[in-house]
Parts: sequence; C-alpha cells; structure tokens
Amino acid sequence: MRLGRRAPDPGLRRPVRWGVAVGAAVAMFVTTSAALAGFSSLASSGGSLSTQRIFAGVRSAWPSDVRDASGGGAETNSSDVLSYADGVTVTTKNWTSAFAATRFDDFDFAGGRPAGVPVTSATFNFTFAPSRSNDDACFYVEVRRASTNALLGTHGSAGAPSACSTGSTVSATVSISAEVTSTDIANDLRLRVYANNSTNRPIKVDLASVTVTTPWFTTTLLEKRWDDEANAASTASLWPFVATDGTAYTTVGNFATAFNAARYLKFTPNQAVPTGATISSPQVQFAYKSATAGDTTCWYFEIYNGATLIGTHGSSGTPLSCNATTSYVTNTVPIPEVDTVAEANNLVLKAYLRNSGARKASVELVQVDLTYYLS
Amino acid sequence: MNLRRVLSVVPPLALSAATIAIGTAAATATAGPASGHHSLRLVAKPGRIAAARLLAPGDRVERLVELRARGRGRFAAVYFVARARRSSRLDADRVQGLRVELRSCPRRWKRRGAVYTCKRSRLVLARRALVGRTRLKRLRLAGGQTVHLRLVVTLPRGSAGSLAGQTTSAVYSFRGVRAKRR
Repeated sequence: MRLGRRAPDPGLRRPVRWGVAVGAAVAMFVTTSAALAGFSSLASSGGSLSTQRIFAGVRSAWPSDVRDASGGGAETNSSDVLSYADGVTVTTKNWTSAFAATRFDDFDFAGGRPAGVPVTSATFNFTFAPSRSNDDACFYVEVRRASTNALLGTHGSAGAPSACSTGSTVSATVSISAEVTSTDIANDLRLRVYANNSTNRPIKVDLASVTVTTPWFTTTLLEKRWDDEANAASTASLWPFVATDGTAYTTVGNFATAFNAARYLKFTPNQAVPTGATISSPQVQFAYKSATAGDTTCWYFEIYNGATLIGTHGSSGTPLSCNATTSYVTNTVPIPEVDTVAEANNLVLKAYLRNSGARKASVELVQVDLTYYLS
Repeated sequence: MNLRRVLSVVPPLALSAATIAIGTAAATATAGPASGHHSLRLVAKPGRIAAARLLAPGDRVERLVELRARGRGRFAAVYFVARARRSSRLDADRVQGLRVELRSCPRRWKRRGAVYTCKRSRLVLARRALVGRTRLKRLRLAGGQTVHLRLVVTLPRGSAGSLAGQTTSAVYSFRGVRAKRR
C-alpha cells in the first residue's frame, strides 16, 4: 500500500484510526505514569481531633426570684411575675376581638448561656387567661432576634391561633425548636405574642418563659423585658438586676440604721451550669444606692447552697461597702466557695443592708458570673 | 496530504495528548506500589498519630512524624496533604477552625515538657487551615535521607463556641514526585 492511498473499505477507516489513537494513548498513559511521574506516597493517619463540649467562658446569671425582708418581717415575694406559674399575673392593656398586626406583646429573655451550643428542643411556655372568665382569648407567636427584631418564624396565625382560652387559665406550650437552634439564638431571643379578646379587654399572663434543652444542659430562659403593645402603643417594663441601665428595684420596706439578721434581700440567680463542668473565678456584681438622697446604705452578703450557708463576705461590723452618694455603686466580689456545679445551680445570695435614714435602698444589678468549661 | 486528511488526525491526537496529561496527573495523585525494588518511595512513621481530645481555643497539639525516602534518586517535590475522613466544623471552618504547621529538624526532636524542641528546626509548612494540599518547597529529600517533622495542630484562640463538641478525623499524607531520570 502506497502512502496516501485510500483504504479499500471507507466504512472501516474511521474506527481503525480511532482504535489506533486510543491504543497509542493508553500505551503512553502507562509509560508516562511509570517513567515520568515516578512517585510514592504514604499516609500517616491521624486519630481524631476533638474539642471540649463547652469552651471556657464567663457566663452570667441574674435573679428572677427575689425575696424582700427589708422591713424585718416576713419575706415579700418580689419575684418576676412573668417568670413563674404561681398564679400571680400581669394584666396587659386592651386587645381587640380581631388580631391586628400592630397589637402584640414582646417578651425578651435573659441569656447568659454558653454560646454556640446546639439546641435540641425549645419550648415557649405561655400561661394566660382572659381578664374576665366569660371572655375568650387566643394567641399566636412570632420568634424573633431581640437585638435586631429579625423575624425567625411564626407559630400559629390569626386564623389558627396557637391556643385559646374560653375563660379559664390555659398553660400553652409552643415548640420553637425550628428557630431556636443554638444558644446564640436563645441568648438573643424575643417572643412576640399576638392576642385577641372577644370583648376587647386585657388578658392576664401568669408565665412567659422558654425551656431550652441542649445535649449538655436544660435551662429555662426568663424574661427581662416585657413590651406591652396590646393597644398598639409601646409600654416597656424592664426587669431590674440584669444590667446597669438605671432600672432598679426599690425595697418594699425600710431598712434599719443597724444591720439586722431579719432585714435582708434574698436573690436566686437563674443559673444552669451543666453537670461535669469545671468552674473557676466565680464572682458577684452588686450595684446599689440609697433610695433617698442624703442617706448612706451599707451592705454585706452571704452565699448559700440551697439552705446551707457556704460563705460570708463582709459582716455587720465590717460591711463590704457603703454608698453615701446618689449614684449606684457596683461592687465586684469573688465568691471562691462556689466551686461545684451543685453550688452554682443552687446558689442563693442573701444581702444584708442598713440605711442611715432608716429608709429604703435601691438595687440596680445582681449578677453572678461563673467561668466554666465542660470537657 | 490534503487538508481533510490532516484534520482527520486531529481528534485522535488531541485524545492522545489529553490522555498523557490525565495519566501524569493521575500518577502523581494516586498512591501506587513501588515499581521496583530500588524505586524511590516515601515512608512515614508512625502510621497512626495519637488522637487529641478536649481541645480548647488556644490549645496546640504536637506530634512527630519521621519521613524517610527509600530507594534511589530524589524527589522533585513533596506535598503535604491533609483531608478529613470525618469532617466537622473544626476543619470546615477555615478561619476559626484547626490550623496545621510543619517544621523539620535534621535530628530527632527533643521533648521538653509538653513541647518538642530542635535547635536547627526549619519551617516547611507555614500555618494554614488543616485540610488542604501544599507543596513543601523547603523540604528536600533524596533516597536514603530522613527528615524529622513536627506537626503542630492548633485551635485558634478566640474560636467560636460553635466549634465546641466537634470531632474531626484527619488523615495526613506525604506525596513525593520523583525527579525525572536523566
């Protein structure tokens, strides 16, 4: 066969040509691999790299349970009304019989939980009743970020409310697990409740809290800000003790000019330290002043694990500090006796105060800080 | 040769060229057995690196790897490759997640407390995100030579809480590309 001469069968020319090319390519593949790219490799396999379940960090807790014995008599329960299902209720402003986009109540919750922890379930607990037993009332909720008011999700609607009451108290629970997927959201949470009332009257709210479960702990978030916009106008109520924001608690009764074991304020912070956590650097922050200008208020405190006294800071003879000014003074006091999870979760702070004018005192901040991690 | 005939051989030639390229690439990317008794190959010890648990932000983990070139010749390039057999945020987060660094020492590393030291250590892999592939330009390795490597894995200080409770199973490998024979 001469070069340039066509093959006798044109139908075979192309397959043969491709076959030759592919064969040559495969041969080149093999020789190239062997000759040009001689190599070797060996894997050195590492085991797992894993992190602590919760990284070390400062977590703060504030009291919603407050008992006031400033007058020296029986304790007055000054706890946050919205944080406990105890039959003590707040009454909202008037709703309308139809839901309205401008009529709602916002509940913002105190955080303080370790950031970044996945949430396995979250439930909004809402116990309510119409203000009159012969009225009907319903609600549905929106889940929002407190810091930005960004809407995360809605549960129920005007047409299909989350729950209704025909006059009696209803303890409703609404799963908000779809939105509250991590403690980052739980620590920055707002629940917006849209409600109605068949006779355009208020509703009474006994409880507005959020129960959060994570792989490592379960906690209840308690409200720190309630904005009642039932009548489409904002009226915000801040729970004191949570921040140095000027919102303070003024004692029910008058203190005496001398310390007295029967005159105190008792605070139970809403702490949720996971089992097995290692605690360090516990401390109390306490901001206070006299309710009346010109008075001097002094204080010291005791730390309890439940009912058991575990530490005293200052004394009636040597108070921790005194404040003769009209400004709040913040004391930060280490409480090294709190070094177990049980002590942290059952911590009770009992503050003894005296007032030179035998009058009331105001407390702006009660905060317990714990640094902990969970291996 | 007319134009039609010239054009008719272009596709097969292109295929051949592409196959050569794929063959070369596949060869460098795939672990294969040594082609002969004296062929150059890498051996890394230990085969399994001890696990590191309960890492916290700011922690660093040091592990030693002995990398040996067996056979004749030299490597034109050595690559360090780390991948996640089991992935988590620790390797997926390339900013706040785990970082890796390699230093070599001409002699064995000496243990001093919790760290390994070497007077004449050399950085061969600057700190980078754990998962990836980097050519170790400062690592020269010829047949019969051994380098003593210290692998440092760190979790950056200030890593987010969302990196807590995570587990990554990492596989580290060294890949050598043999220099061309002359």
